[in-house]
Amino acid sequence: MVMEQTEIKEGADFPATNAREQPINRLFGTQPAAWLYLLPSLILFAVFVFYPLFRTLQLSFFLSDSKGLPTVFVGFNNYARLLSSPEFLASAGSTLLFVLYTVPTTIILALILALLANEKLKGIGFFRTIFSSSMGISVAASSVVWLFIFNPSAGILNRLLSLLGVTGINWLADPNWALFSVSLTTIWLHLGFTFLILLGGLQNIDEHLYENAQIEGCGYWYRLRRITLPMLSPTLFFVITVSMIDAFQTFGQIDLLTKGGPGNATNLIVYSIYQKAFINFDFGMASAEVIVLFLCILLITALQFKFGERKVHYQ
Amino acid sequence: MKSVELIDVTKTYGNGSVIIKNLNLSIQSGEFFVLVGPSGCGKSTILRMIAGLEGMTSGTLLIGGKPANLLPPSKRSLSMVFQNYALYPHLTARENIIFGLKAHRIGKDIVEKRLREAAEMLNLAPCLDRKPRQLSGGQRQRIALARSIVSEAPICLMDEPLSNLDAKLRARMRSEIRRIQRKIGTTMIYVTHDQIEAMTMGDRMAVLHDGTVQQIGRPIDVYNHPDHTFVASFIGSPQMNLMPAVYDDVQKILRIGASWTITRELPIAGGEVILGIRPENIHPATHPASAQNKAIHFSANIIDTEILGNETQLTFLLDHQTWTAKWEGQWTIPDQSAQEMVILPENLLVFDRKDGHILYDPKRSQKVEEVTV
Repeated sequence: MVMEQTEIKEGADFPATNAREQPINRLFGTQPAAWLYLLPSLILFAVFVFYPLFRTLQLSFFLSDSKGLPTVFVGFNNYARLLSSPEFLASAGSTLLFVLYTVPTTIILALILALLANEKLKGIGFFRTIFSSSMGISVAASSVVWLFIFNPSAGILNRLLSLLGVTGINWLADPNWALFSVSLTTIWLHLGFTFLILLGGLQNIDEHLYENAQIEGCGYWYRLRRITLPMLSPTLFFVITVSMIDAFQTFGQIDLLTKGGPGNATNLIVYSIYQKAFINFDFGMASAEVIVLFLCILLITALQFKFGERKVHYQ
Repeated sequence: MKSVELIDVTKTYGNGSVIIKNLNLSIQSGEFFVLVGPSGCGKSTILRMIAGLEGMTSGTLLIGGKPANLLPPSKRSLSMVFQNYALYPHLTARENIIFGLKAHRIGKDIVEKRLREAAEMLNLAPCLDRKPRQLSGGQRQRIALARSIVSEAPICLMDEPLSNLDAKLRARMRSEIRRIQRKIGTTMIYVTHDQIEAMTMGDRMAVLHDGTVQQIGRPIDVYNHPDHTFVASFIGSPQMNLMPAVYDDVQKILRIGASWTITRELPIAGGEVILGIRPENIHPATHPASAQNKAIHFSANIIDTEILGNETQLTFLLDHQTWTAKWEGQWTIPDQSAQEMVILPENLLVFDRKDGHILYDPKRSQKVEEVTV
């Protein structure tokens, strides 16, 4: 409405510019003012997303010097080296495992908490705050706290185990446990955000649907299966997609807890990219790995939209 | 079919506000009972308390003669139609209708049979496989009705089911709901704020105001013999003319405003009253009523006329009070012109100005004495 008015006013005030506007119209459509409104976010996206993405793609075809400047064009050589390296394959494997450990567990736990916190009980606000509180804690701070929890001699986890008479576990240093420990931290970290989104989704469901089910005598599980989950499916779909992408991009807790070790047990893709680029200064190879990760996430998300969205009921 | 009885029911909320005060209702088995009142009068709360969706603060609920206060909603042998229909958006119309039956694991043959019957009754067959968002408001409404029918519950509660429909559809659904209720004979408790629905649909109705029942009775009785100025003004459209008057019981004169007096003996004590007369009881001077010698003649300036097809609604000023009259036929009367009118004294109702209760209703022979105390 406002945009149309502006257009008419301009046309009326400056009839001479009408002729000049023709090619502009062809380029920007009939409402050039719309582009003006899009401009701020376009600029931000261009500077912080599109340009770095383009540079990364370019870099992935080059060998680079220690400052990360491209030196020799090598075509797909970086990709070939990457895909044949056992270190990358191990890294991709542990990333997949990590996603499998964290995403379903986080979502199921958050869903249970959200269902509990959605009940109308006295003082439920307190629990809603507690359950969502991990959202307000930074990756760094919580990683440090978990370092203490995981500490083999002084940590609370091993103390509890020793109370039960079980020998302590070297959580972060044992190759069999390290990925599990990092996953545990990640689940805890993401629980708050996922909980909050799911609770919001639950609260959007029309109360009358439940009242009708109550009168018709449907039990709790029938209501959960036939009303709550289908009505929550758009939110669940969003949460699954975002959590997957998030899990693939995990970096902070790895850097602080294990630095990719022991061995390469927790060397997830983003951490291995970091090591390649900023420790080994192999920017070309790191860029190639970034592009591969990007394409993988793109593919998985596209598959999710293609097959997962069928089960989603938008209102 | 089952009766529903509410005895001394009170509902207060945590902050101390009283929603329902000492409510007593007795709804017979198979009756179409309408709860009518303006928004905020507590009528939906009453319905939700009967359904068990809300608890009562005190009082007793009897369903089929048995105490039901502590029964869960599903054990109260009732079905409910919500104002927004509460259809499941992810299910087809068919699945919506049989949602409850499926939860109870009722046999497939019975489900099919009930579904077929309900769909036939409501002409739903063509839209059974569509989702609610693909259906019109009227069709959604029918799905909600069908869902209540297939449950075969002896009591059906409806919470303003027609308020989301356009006027034309509403008129049709009024008679359709009434027809279905007669056919299957369920006990119906119907909440509405629309006095036309209350008048046309109910066997009996209760007029509610501020959480208390103002009057219970057959719609015609409530219309003809309102107990209270609130009922008089709420039921009937256009609403009853109500104006302050003073009755002088020595001179037997009723003074309306500053200049108009009616000489007439009333069986009430003198004092401040409110006079009420329905618009359709104010006639043009040409009406046969004016031939009667007890007829009261007067003249007033017309300020507005609305011709509604075969009847004409006139607004006029009498002693700074706005009055409405409804005349049969099509009258074209220029604004600000004086018009001779006539009323019959038997159509005049007299209310107490302090508490609004009826003092004198000439057409109601009994009960008047006890009210005049």
